[in-house]
This record gives sequence, C-alpha cells and structure tokens, in this order.
Amino acid sequence: MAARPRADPISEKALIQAAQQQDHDAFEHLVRLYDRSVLRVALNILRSEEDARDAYQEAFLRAYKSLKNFRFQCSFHTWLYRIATNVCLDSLRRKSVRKDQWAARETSDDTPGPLDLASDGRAASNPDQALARNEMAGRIGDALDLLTPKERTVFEFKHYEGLRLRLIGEMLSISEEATKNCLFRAHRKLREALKDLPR
Amino acid sequence: MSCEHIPSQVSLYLYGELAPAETEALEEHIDECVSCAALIEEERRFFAAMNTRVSAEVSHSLLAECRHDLMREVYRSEPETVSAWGRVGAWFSAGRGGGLPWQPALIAASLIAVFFVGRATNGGAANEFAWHEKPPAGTTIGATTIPFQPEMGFSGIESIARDPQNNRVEIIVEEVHRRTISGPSSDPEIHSLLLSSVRNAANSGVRLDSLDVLRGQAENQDVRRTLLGSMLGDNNPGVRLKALDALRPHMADPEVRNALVEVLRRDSNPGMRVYAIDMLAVQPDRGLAGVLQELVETENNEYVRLQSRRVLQDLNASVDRF
Ligand SMILES: [Zn+2]
Repeated sequence: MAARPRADPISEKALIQAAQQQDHDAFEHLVRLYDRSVLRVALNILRSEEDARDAYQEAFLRAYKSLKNFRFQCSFHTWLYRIATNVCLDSLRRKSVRKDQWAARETSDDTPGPLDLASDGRAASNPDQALARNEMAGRIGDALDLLTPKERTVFEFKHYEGLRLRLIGEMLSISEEATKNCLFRAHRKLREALKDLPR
Repeated sequence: MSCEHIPSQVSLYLYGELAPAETEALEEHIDECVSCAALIEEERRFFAAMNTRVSAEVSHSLLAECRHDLMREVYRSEPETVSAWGRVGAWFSAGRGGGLPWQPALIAASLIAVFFVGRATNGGAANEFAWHEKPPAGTTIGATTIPFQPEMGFSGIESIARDPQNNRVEIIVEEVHRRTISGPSSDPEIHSLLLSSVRNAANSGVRLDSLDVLRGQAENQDVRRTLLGSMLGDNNPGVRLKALDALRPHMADPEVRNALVEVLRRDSNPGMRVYAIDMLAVQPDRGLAGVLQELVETENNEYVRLQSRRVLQDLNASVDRF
C-alpha cells in the first residue's frame, strides 16, 4: 500500500461524493484506484490467495456500506486502508486459531504457498540457487508466522510497504509509540527465529 | 548519546524514522564507537535477509475476478434505480445522436409502477425486484403474470384498487397471449421485435440471439442506433462485445467512433476497452492520440495501458506529450 496510486484530489472527492449517492460506477472507479495495493498486501500478509480474495471482498464491501459515513476528516486512502487492515487482522486472528488447531498437520504440510511458487519461477535457471532461495523464503515465512497478527501487520507495513509509523498507528487505531513497540517486538522475534540464517 | 541508547534506535534509524537531531547524534556516535557501528551492520544484514522475500504478485486475472465478484455483490445489494440504459439516454441526448429510438423515461416510469405494485402485494419482499442484469421480466400478482413490456406503458393496466384493511391490491390487466411469429428477418414486425428484444429482453441470451440476427443489418439507422445503445448500455459484457463486433464494418460513422471512445473511457470490462482500442486504431483519426494519451494516464489495467502505448507508438505520438 506504500506506492499510493496517484489520485487527483478534486476528482477523488467528486468520485467519493458520487459513490455516496449510490453511483456504482463512481464506486468502482474508487475501488480501481486502490484495490491492487490492497490485494497485494492481503496476499503478502495472509499468504493464501483464497484468504486474500475474501479479505478483498470483505474490505471493499464494508467500505461500500459505510461510505455514507465518510466525512472527509481523514484522507480516503487512510480510511479505506484502515478498513482493509482490520479485515486482514481479523483474518489473521481466525487463521492463528485454525493454525493452533491444525498445528500437528501443518508441520508436515509442504504444499508451496504463493510466495514459494513465485520464487520458484524466478530462479529456475539455477536449481541450487532456487533451492536456497526457496528455503530462505520458507524460513522467513515461518518466522513471520511467529508474530502476533498486530506485529505481523505492523512489520509488513513498515518493512515491506515502507509506510510511516504514524500512518500505521492511524490505520490500526493505536498510538505511534505503541506502533513502535509493536515493531520492536516483531524485530526481536524475527531476529531470534532467523539468527542462524546464512548471510 | 551513549551506547545504551543505540539498540532501541538502530532499526528506526534504518527505517528513517528518527528525528533529524537523533539521526545526527546517532551517526556521530557510530563514527566513534566500533561496537555500535557493528550493531548497525548486523541490523543491515537482517534487513537484507528479510528483503529476500518475494512479494506476492497480483495477477490480472485475480484482480479482475476480485473486482467482478465485488461489483456483483454491490449491484446485488440494492436495486439499481439509475440503470445503465439511463446513461445511454444521457449519451444520446448530449447532442451526439439527437432523438432517442426508445424512451428511457418511459422505461423508468414503468419500472416505478411495477416496483410499486410489487411492494404493495408482497408485503415488503422488495428484494424480489432487486434485478441483477436487466429490469425484471415481469411481476406476478396472484396467479397472473404481467410481462415486463416497457413500451406498453400504462395501457396494459386498466384499473388498480387497494384494500387498506389487508393491504391487498387488485389490478385489472389486459391479458397478453404467447404467440409465435415467423418470417424473414427483413419482415417489419420481426425487425421491430428484434430491435425491441435487444433493448428490453430480460434474458441476456435472448439479447445475444437478437444481435446475432441483426449483426449484418447495421447499415440501417435504427439497427445501428440499437447496436450503439447495446454496446454502451447493456449490463452484460458478452452482449456489449457482440454489439461492438457488429459495428466493426461501420468505423467511418463518427457516431460509432464517438461511442467507441466512450467505451474506452467508461466500460468496466478491460476486454471491451482493448477491442475498442483495436477498432479505433484501424483507421486512426486526429483525436485518437489524445484519447490514448489520456488513457495511458488514467487506465488501471496494465494490459490496456500497454495496448494504448503500442498504438500510440504506431501513431508516432509521444506518450508523454501532454
Ligand atoms: Zn556505542
């Protein structure tokens, strides 16, 4: 969500106002301004296409339903990403419950996720490198799984999306200080989990 | 700044989240302190390791499916009171064509009537009338089905009486009988039924079949108008595409070209936009470069943008001229 799509503020405001009057075309236009980055972050955080699709759908439907309450007090993208973030957090929480339930099964589950597949394709020319990269991706994925949903989200937004801590806090409805602490905890856990990683 | 403050600031420093004064103090310290400089290096290596993760890629097909599912839900969530056909009406009345071959206002008036009847008799089961694609084919009152026939206006209904006690409504309707009409496609009655079907049939399959019959007749003004309306206003992309295809031999008509530009700007289906580019590019006119440049700026679909750039290059126009 870092690379924010360019949206002319005047036309964006007009689009929002039209969408608030039930103009579906205007709403679709708004969706198209932001949905690629929302979907990418959902894919990265949830690491499952199915979950990311559900999150996309739920986030934008929630946005659609509460659009009439949007009062232009913050920027539209912050408002929208706050909704999307909460949806991803909820999904992560449900997922961590599921994971606890299926922990035994998951440890032996070697089905590649979308990230593994992506790295596969890129390094196919060099099998050794591909293997190493796959292992690395797997290790990083496992380490990220150790984080709480909130730590996971803060880390994703800070490290991979490059958002400012203040904005991340705004999206999660927590203070900047709390966001910073969350990021510290994430770093500590990740470094601990990855301390023997080849460098 | 002393060594004990450094560990809590290392990652914030690399993220660029320290205040300028803090950054300066930290940099002064690590210039002097080897062990804290090593901490920074270690953190950099951690960052580099984390950056080997490959970001998920959003494929066109996944994004398109998500958008489609979402908008289907959005349209489903409430009845569409301003239909796409209303937009077509606006397009034609904006001085492009002059004179409507059909009457959106009348359609709207009939819709309101049908909707009202439905609400009154179904006791709030209004979602029965939340149509998804096209206006409903008809509404059932008791055992009688009134076919949805916008062109019959109010003449099909003779009288309406309401019993306030039980909220029941009695409507006397002219009966409509089913009949088969056959003949050559040039037969005036068949011709006009086909046109009416493209505009009004609730079933998109019927609209497609009607277009199939009409596709070779676009030199006829009424047919061409109907095709234009269908291409711009039908809610089904398959129907829009068939109408677009039928207009292909008539690219010399400025109204067809204008309508294609409208497709480029407004059609929600990227496939339609790509076809519109292809058709416009066959006989490019002076305005095309400007339209494509606008598209390169505003288009969300990468493939459509790519096609716009490709055609622009063929036109020898600079993509960044504006
Ligand atoms: Zn030191």
